Amino acid sequence: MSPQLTRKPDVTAEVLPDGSMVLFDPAEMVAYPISASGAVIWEALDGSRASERVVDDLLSVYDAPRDQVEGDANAFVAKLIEIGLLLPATVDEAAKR
Amino acid sequence: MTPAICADPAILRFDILGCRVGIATRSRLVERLVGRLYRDYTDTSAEPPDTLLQVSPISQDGKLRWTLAAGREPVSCHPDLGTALNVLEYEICRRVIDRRRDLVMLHGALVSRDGMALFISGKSGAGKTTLSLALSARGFHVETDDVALFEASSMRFHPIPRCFHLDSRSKQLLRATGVQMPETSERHSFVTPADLRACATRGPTPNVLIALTRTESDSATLATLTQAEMTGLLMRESGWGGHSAAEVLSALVRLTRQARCYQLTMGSLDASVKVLDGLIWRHTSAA
Repeated sequence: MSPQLTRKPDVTAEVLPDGSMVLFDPAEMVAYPISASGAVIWEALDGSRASERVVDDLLSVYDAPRDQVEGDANAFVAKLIEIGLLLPATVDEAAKR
Repeated sequence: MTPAICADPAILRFDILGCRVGIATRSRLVERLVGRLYRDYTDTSAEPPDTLLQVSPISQDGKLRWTLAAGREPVSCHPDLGTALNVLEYEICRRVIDRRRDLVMLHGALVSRDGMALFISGKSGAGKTTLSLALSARGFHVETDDVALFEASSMRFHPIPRCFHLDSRSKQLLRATGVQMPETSERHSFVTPADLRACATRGPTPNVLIALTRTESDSATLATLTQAEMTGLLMRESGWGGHSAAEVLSALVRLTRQARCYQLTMGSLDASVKVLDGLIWRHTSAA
């Protein structure tokens, strides 16, 4: 998982009682439902922490091998990048970290 | 048999969620059916209707046809009353939705029993009407099988009254499950809510949300959906009225956050009804 990622601006996140989350992109007017584990990843990808910490957060919640958790998290992040909700961080943003 | 015709058209007046509709007809049969369909919305005010629709039988090439007009503008001509009434309901529904752009339109069936209210969302042809009627035979109260307007601020549901329109396959399925259909369903291929003793001017807020899909298998399955998945699904299926996407999303999140969400993959009608029966029983037993 690359640490050089940033959330697309103005995307909102609504957490529901069952732990799932709805991401809303107002520019595209599309709502994306994500699972509870995806919500943990999204919350952690606020640009302030290294990717390893994201996996650590997941491991504290889910009892699974690190390799599996890391693989699933990478696949989820790749999906967010594909649909444009995660963007490469700019040089300034990366320098701030 | 030629329907009884009056010399002077009867004008029935209704106030459906703030939309005043007048329906003019020379047919006693239409007068009776429309009166039953919208009986809970009778407009007793002196205000003229916002819109006047006319349903009239005519003879065309020696055959009975049913015409629909809006004011002076012809809308359509149909070979049977069921189709004409379906179009009439659609015209009324469209005007109500246009009038009430403060509400979010949800496409689905709303049924309730034992303190539980289920909203069943699904595409046209998924089986909502047939399933709703089968559920009514199991003691479910059917508020609507098609469209409801949702008031986010109060979480109130306002079912829009419509007949339950049945094709031959639906009638066959219902007969096979032992559902006794009213006589109108045989003659006209539709059932009015009054025939099912449904009387919904305001529906209960659903505490169970169901996404309906179909399969060719006989067995029906129920799977849990996350509240986020249900929100996304309802967002795609809803009419936004005068709201922004963000406002609709906020309204739907308010709805889903207090509900349990499932996907029902319909099998045979009987199996599907049993699954929902079981769901209600589990929830009420656990309470």
